[in-house]
Parts: sequence; structure tokens; C-alpha cells
Amino acid sequence: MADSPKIQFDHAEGENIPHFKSLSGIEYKRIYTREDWDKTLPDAGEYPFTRGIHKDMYRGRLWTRRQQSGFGSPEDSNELLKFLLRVGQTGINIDSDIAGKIGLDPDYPLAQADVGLQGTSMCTYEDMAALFKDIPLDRISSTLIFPPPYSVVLMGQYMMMAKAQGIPYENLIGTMMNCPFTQLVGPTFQANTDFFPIDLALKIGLDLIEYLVPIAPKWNVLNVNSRNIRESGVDAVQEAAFSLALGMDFIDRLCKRGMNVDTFARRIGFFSAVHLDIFEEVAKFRAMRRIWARQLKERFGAKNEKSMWFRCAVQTSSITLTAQEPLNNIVRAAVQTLTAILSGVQSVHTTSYDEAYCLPSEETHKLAIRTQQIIAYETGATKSVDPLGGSYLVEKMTDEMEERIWEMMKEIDRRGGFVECFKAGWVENELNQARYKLADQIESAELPIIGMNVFRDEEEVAEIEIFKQAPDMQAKRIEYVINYKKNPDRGPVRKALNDLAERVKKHPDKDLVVPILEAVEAKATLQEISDAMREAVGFSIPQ
Amino acid sequence: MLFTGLERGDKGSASRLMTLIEKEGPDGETALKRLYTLDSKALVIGVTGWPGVGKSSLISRIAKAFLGEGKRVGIVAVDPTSPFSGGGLLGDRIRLRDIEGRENLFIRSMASRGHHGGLSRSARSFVKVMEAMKCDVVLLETVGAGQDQITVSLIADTTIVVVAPGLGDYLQAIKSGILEIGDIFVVNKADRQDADKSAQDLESAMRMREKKGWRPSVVKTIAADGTGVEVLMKEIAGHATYCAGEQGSRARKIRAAKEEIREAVKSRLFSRFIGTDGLVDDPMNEYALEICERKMDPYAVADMILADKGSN
Amino acid sequence: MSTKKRIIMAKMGLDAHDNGLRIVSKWCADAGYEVIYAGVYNSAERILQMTIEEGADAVGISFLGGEHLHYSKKLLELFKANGLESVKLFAGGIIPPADVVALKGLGVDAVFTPGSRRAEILSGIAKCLEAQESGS
Repeated sequence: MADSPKIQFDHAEGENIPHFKSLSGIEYKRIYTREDWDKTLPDAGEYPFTRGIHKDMYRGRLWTRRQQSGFGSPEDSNELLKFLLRVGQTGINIDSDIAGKIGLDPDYPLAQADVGLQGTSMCTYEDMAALFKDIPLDRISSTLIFPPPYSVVLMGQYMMMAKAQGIPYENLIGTMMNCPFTQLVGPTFQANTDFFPIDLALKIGLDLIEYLVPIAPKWNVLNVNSRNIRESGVDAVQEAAFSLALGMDFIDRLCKRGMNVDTFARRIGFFSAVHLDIFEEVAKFRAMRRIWARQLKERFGAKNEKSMWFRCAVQTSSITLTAQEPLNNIVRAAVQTLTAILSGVQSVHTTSYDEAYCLPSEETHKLAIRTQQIIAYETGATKSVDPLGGSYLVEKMTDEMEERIWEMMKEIDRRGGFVECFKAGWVENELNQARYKLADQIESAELPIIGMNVFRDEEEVAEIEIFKQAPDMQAKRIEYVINYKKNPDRGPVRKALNDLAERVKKHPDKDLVVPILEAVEAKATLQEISDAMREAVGFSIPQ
Repeated sequence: MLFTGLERGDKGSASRLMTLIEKEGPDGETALKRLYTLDSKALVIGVTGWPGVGKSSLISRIAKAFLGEGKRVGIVAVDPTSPFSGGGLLGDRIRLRDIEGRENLFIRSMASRGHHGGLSRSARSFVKVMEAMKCDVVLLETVGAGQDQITVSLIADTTIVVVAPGLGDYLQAIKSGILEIGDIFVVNKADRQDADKSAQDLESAMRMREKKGWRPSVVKTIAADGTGVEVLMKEIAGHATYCAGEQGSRARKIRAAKEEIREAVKSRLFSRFIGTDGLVDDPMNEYALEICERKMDPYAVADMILADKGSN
Repeated sequence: MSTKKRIIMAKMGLDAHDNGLRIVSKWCADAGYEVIYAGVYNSAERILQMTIEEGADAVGISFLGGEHLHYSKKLLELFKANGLESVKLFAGGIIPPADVVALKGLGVDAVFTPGSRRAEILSGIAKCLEAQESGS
């Protein structure tokens, strides 16, 4: 036979994947049978809620399509919110820029170049009002991503706005995330301790929970962000163990303050990642539901079933998305979104395919929402509750994940709880080891990523539209806040800030929410309030 | 020319001089020799202790206190070098962030080298450069394990040994003989439960030891919030006064100088016979193979090298 | 002659996504460089001071939020004003293709975007530092 023309063909013969381990190292069996799992499970909506926290799940009500959004000025972000609601999102998730998350105004020198880039630039009451203009607060739930102590300021502004709209606090629906460890980038030490003393931040967060629970019964007061933990490179077991342990640490502290667990536990939620290993992720969520329910019942003595629900919002993972061949990310995000649905979560943000390049544009946001709508309406995945329940593989893996997660939680408990582990640097160490290991796995292609470390097309040049902001956006925001603070009518601000500083200095153990809210009402800016507290305890921030 | 900048207290000149000396070429050596002719008026404080005891927080407090007195402060922060790659991840500086950037403060990170000369030569020379650029106080921070700790105690006027309760290392400390080298002992993280016991253990261990002249003290601190730092500064001042007097300081200086001579001889011999980076010489690999195959012993090899090169 | 190169690795401004920074820092240390790890929340002035005091041969900055042009420009200006033109500057992170070109135009010596492999990054850095040796 004559020589055939040379073509690239070597990968088609007997192709198989490099190994059969899950991302966290669980070995997948060749096939799972009744010998692996042969039990019965309680119904969805029944303790310990393995099959879902509600009896009807998506048959009763679809998950919330809640895309994290925000950029530039509050006005820009308001426009985006309206667009997202128009194309079909059903919940709001406000993402401020970093300055907002660490208690800085746009004019702070170190903040100026970052203003409005990763989220909405916001620091005044008027900003909050502009952001939510025309949005009915009692009909659409909003998630606000702020760690304490800033969570109190932004909550204060939100409540002022509700009042102005004539909406009573009892009718407010939404979430203030309020966790000082996981809101920024995951629990790395420097990131979370450079701008405010961590113990005081934690204390103020707990104060806020105690304040809100009686007056805003439908408002969620704490959200543990396990996604940021996961995006640092840890595996599903660590993600689950760290976040559940942190959640329990919070409950512990609130109970020690004399609060009844049944008054607040139903207002605690989680924000998790959804990764690409379909069955490991489904098992992870089911295991987390079981562990959380058990802990609430057995360790904390919760009586009300609602207190035992593991309520979870998710965002599909970014660390799995590539800059190479970005359209591949659409597929990844779709698979992850489906995985989330099969896992029975409560709300979903589908990450946009341009994640490795820029903030989502309107177009990529819309595609993300469409992804969710297609899965909801076209696929049948929502027509029966917990469709994977009873699968030998899924149930066996759920059991295994539960075991591994629980082992790790016991270790954390032995070391004094998550907060202690964080302060002692143990968490940081675990994160570092995990990230280096993941980097090695990506380098060696033990973790294959199509287009990046396998099947890489060196000639491919990604051509996507990069989302761009107005060139004068930052200058405008900086000018705005400088002028705001120069306004001579700000007499009450001085007094409120002084009162706050006095309280923090002399009685930090007493409630700090009320004096902060008074400063908010006097129209002090985010940084003015934060600085008053920082100065009161002699805490200096990076210049 | 760098020296003129140095005398003016110029950070850029000091830094370039340190880099030059680290390179270990002829220019570096000339510069180093010249440094030895200059007066050294700075108070050199070595701070040593195991990872996790809070050395950096403590150094930050000490430096802040001196800066508050209007003094010029230099810090040499030493991190371990990887024995495998020769590179190093120097993470000390980031722990000194809250004092970094001040005009009167100079921070230099260094890796505790694997090759001969190591910590002793570079750290000593960096300290000298900082003295020459008119620092009033130089703080030398090391992880401190074994030889490095002893080296630090010879370079420094005052050696502070830091321990923390609950890490179990104060027992190790007693066993490893660091009691010999400490002028001041600090029990940091003194808010922990067993802090008092650690302090007592140290005190009784020291009482059992013969020590002429300066009597080392044990100070309890919480570097995180500054507790005990005032007492520590008093002890430091006390030891400085003692050193200024004739008795203890002269003996230590003589000991240090003898050590420097030994180091210099070793360094010369090493570079003459093996090269500055003896890891990659070809003959070395062959000799090593012979030893592994039990055909030769290291002393025979040494004799061969000396005989071979000595005749040049 | 000891020729260990010293590289400062840092993030500037407010972004604290330091995963890439930590990983590349470790890769560099494993490859034999002395890496002065400066962490997050650094201003241009702080980086300048560090570069002077540590006698750094190169500075590597990791970006995520879109602030790369602003800070690279600022750093290069400060380097120039302080006689530090020979110090190499690398940038890494979320940087769109058009901006990669712009950064190089400003004088950034190498840019590494997501998906860059370890070998690629290390050889890129090595090449720049070699060029530095020979005076370019």
C-alpha cells in the first residue's frame, strides 16, 4: 500500500482518559451495583434532607437565577440590573468593587486605580439608593456581598432605602453575606486582616445578626462563602469541611451569646462552587445537607426543621475556565449548571465564558441566564425531585464524601474550630499546599483541561469582545466622593462618628450596630465610619 | 564611590554595596575589606527563634520603639534557602509591613545560602553596611537552628532568644543549648495558658547555669498588641549599657573576631581548592562516585585535592 | 561568582487574588531565584522602596481586575525617575490581548496570561534576566 498523506492521527487509537479518580482523589469503580449501596432514603423535605430540603424542590418553585453583577457607578449597575431582570434573572446579587468590601472610599490613594473595576463603586447612602432605583425590595430578593464591619454600614443604607420606599423591615427579603473570612478571596490571612482587626470584625458581624434577626425575620444574616475557599485550589472535601466548620463556629458563638438556635439558624446560608466532576459535586452537596442537618439537630439541639436546612446558592467555578478557546467555557458552565440542578441548590449564578478576560458583558450575562432557562424548561431535569437519588454511584459517593468531610471537620474541631485554625495559620497552610498540588496537576496534565494542557491549538487566537468601561468612570467617582465629604452641611456626621469612636474605644463588648447605624443615618460615608472605628483601636491600614 | 553615598545614608548605595558583596567577586571583597576599616557604632541585636513564635511581630515592635526615639534602624531578615534549588522564598519582609517604607528604616531580605561562607559572611557584611550607612540599631532576624543561632550570637551585641508556649520548643531550646547564647529571653504569646510555666522553666534552667557578668532575664510579651515591649526595651537598653562597659563586651568581640578569622581561612581554602560552588565540579562528581562504590574515603579525597591544588 | 537573581513578587492596589502570585513565586524559588514575596495591597511607592532596598533584578506583578496599565505605567515611571531602568518588569494575570501589546509598548519586559505553562513562564523570565546580564 502506498504511503498515505500524513495527518495528525495519533490520539484517535485507543484513546482513554488519564485516570479514574475524582478531583478529590476518590477512585471511581468500574461499575456500581446494589452491593455498593442498598439502603432506603427519607423523602426530600424530610430529615436529614439528603434528597433536598423541600418536598417539591423545582416542581414547586424553580431555583433563583441570581447573577452576581455590578460595575462602575451605581447608575451603571442599576441599568445592568434592569437588563438582567428583563432577560430573566429572578434574584439580585450585588457585587461592590473591592474598595466597598474593605471599607474604603474611592478617593483613598491605594483604592483609586481599582474603583468600579470588579464591582459597583458605592460608599454613600445616595449610591445605594441609585443602585436600587425602581427595584421593588419586597418582591425581589437581593444578596449584598459585604463582610463585617462594612456589612453593618451597607445594611444600614439598605434599610434607610427600604424605609424611604415605605417597606417595613419585616418584608425585606435577601441576604447580607456578613462573613469576615470568606467574602473577599477566601480565607487567606493578609487579605482578611490588613484593613480591620479580625476579632472586632467578627464581633460586629455577630452583633449585626443579633440586631437583624428580631426585626427582619425574612432576611438572611450570614452566608458562608465556600466558593472562594474552593477557588483557592482546595478539593471538594476541604471546601465542604472548611465551610461547614466555619458555619458551626458562627452558630456556636451566637449560642454562647444566649441566642436560641431556632431563631437564627434558618437565616444562615452557604455560597458554594460547582465544579466539573459531576458526581463528586452532587455527592458533595448531598453530604453537606446531611452533615449540616445532623449537626443542627444533635449538636445544637435545633427543634425546628427549617433550622436544619442546608440552604445553598452556587456559582459555577471560574478556576476551571480557560483563556484558551473561551467558547469552550460555555460548555463547561452549562455542565456545571446542570450539576447544580441535579444537586438541588437554591440559586445559581452561571459564570460567563469571558471570565478569563474581563467582567461579563450584557451579552455574556444573557447567555448565562439562557443556559439556566434552557436547563429549567427544556431538559426535564426539573420534572422530578432528586433524579439521581438511588443511583448506586451517587449514593455510595455521597456516603464516602460524608465520611471524608466529617473526618476533616473533626480535625478542625480538635484544633479549636475554624476561626482558631484561621488565626493560627493552619487554614493558610492547607490552602497553600492545595494550590501548589493543583498547579502541579495542571502542569502534568493529570488534570486535563481541553485547549490548555491537552489538545492545545497553539495557533488559535481568541477573538472575543472585551467588556470595557467608560474611561472617565473612576475620575467621576473620585470627584463625587471628594465633593460629598466637603459639603458643609455635615455637622451631624462629626458627632455621630465621635460617638461611634467613643463606643468602640470604651465599650467594644457592647452592641456596636446601633452607633454605626446612627452614623449611616447622619450620612457618613463608608470609609468615614470604618476609619472612626479603626482609629478608635489604633489600627492602621496599608497606604 | 558607593561609599560616599553610604556615608550620606543613601539607601540605593547601601543596597548596591550589599549586592556587590553577595556576588563574591573581587570588587565585592575589596568593598568588604574596606567596611572592616570603618567604625561600628551601631547596636546590633540578633533575634532568633523557631518559626511561629512571633519573631517578626516582635521585631516590628522593637523597630517601632527605636524609630519612635528618632533612631535609624536597619533590619536584616534571613529566610532559609532551599538546599535543593539554591533559590529561596523570602517571606520575612511581608511580616514587617506595618513599619515598612519609613524613611529611617532599611529592610533587607537574605537567603541563608547553602554554599560555603553562608549566613555568617553575608549577614555579617550586611550588618556592616547598615552600620556604615549610619543606622543606630541593626536587627538581625534568623530562624535560628543550630549553627545559624550561634553565628548570630557572635555577630550581634545583644542576642534575644524568642520562644512561645505550647509549641514545645522551649524544652528543645534547653536541650539544644541556646541558653548559652541568649542575653535576653522572650516568652511571646504570653496570653497563652502555659506562658507562665514556660517563663519559670526558663528562669530555673538559667539559674542552674554558670554565667559571669550579665545575668540574662526572661521577659513575657504579647507582640500582637505590644504588651511587655516596654520592659523588653528596658532590658535591651540595660544590656547595651553593660556592653558599653569593658567587661563582657570585649571578650565577646574577641571571640567573634576569632570566629571571623576561622571563617575567612575556611572560605579561602574552600574557594581555592573546590570553587565557590563546589556542587557542580566534575572531579567532585567522580570522587563522590568512588566514595559511594566504597573505593575511597572522603579523607583520602581531601588529601588528593589538597596535594593536587596545593602544588599550583 | 554567585549570580542568584532576586525577584520581587507582588500584587498592587486592592485586588487580593493571589493564587497565581503564590504559585509562580514558588516556581521561581524552586528554579533557583531568590524571591522576595511582597504579598498584596502594595502601592507603587512601596514597590519602589522595596526594589531599592532589596537590590532586586526584577519585579513581577500579578493583576486581575483591569488595573494593569495604570500600575505598570506608574512603576516604570518611578523606576526611571530613580535610576532603576535596568530592573526588569513582568506582568501576569487577567490581561486582554490588546493590553498585552500596550504593556510591552510601555516597557514591560514580559507578560504572562492565564494558561501560561510553568516552562513558558520560567524561560520567559530567564531570557529577560540573561539580557540584563549582557547589558540590554
